[in-house]
Amino acid sequence: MSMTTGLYAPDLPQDEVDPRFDEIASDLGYPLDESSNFKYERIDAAGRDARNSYEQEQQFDPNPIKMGGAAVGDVSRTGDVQTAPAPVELSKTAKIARWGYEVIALRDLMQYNSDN
Amino acid sequence: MPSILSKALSLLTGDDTKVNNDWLKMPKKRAFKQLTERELIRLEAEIGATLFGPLPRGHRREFFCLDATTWIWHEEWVDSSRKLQVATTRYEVQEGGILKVQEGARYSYVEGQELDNLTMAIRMYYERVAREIYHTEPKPIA
Repeated sequence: MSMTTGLYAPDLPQDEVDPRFDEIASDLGYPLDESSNFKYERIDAAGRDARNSYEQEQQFDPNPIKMGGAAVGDVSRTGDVQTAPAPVELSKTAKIARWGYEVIALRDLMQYNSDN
Repeated sequence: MPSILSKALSLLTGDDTKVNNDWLKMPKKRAFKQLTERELIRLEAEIGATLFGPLPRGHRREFFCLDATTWIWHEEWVDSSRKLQVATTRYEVQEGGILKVQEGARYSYVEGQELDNLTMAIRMYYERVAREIYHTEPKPIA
């Protein structure tokens, strides 16, 4: 199965984007950022599930001092240095979910504009 | 008499100097704002059909986003016995993964290379429909 690549061009001018997009899409109820209630699956650099449910996400506290754990740079008795956690990325399922929401949001935005 | 003759000639040969053929001209700017949701999906499906490489001869393919959590792959072709074959696959986005639903009550979660290909195709679908149909720049989702 052959496929071409679709890469982002972040240096493209952004002024063609409708400045009302976020506002209107938000009014329509689409989650546009990770603060929504959508359950994201997180995979760390080693491929393990770092946060795989909303409930776990709620329990996750990024402040190690508050949790009683070691802070970044601390050295343990065994000499291990605490390093910063590896950046997490969305799983393929979560990405597909986001792209689906974005497509529907664009479609609804088009309908919204035609009605107004 | 000459007028009758010229009229007869124009009836026989046609007179394209007075014919209004404006209706044949394609509009320069397509009025997307008047398109229905079904028509928008059809336009998206045209782009979706091109994402998986060239179509085999005699095949017709559609790939589109039905709703936020459902993607449809539809393909039609005529087999060697000249019988029309139709295959429709529905991909459902669930918390545990992407469930592939096919005819005959066949269910399986997409994984491995198939999941990689589907992920890439859906990303390209979003980027291309955003730019080519909705004229907006897609959001980077990492």
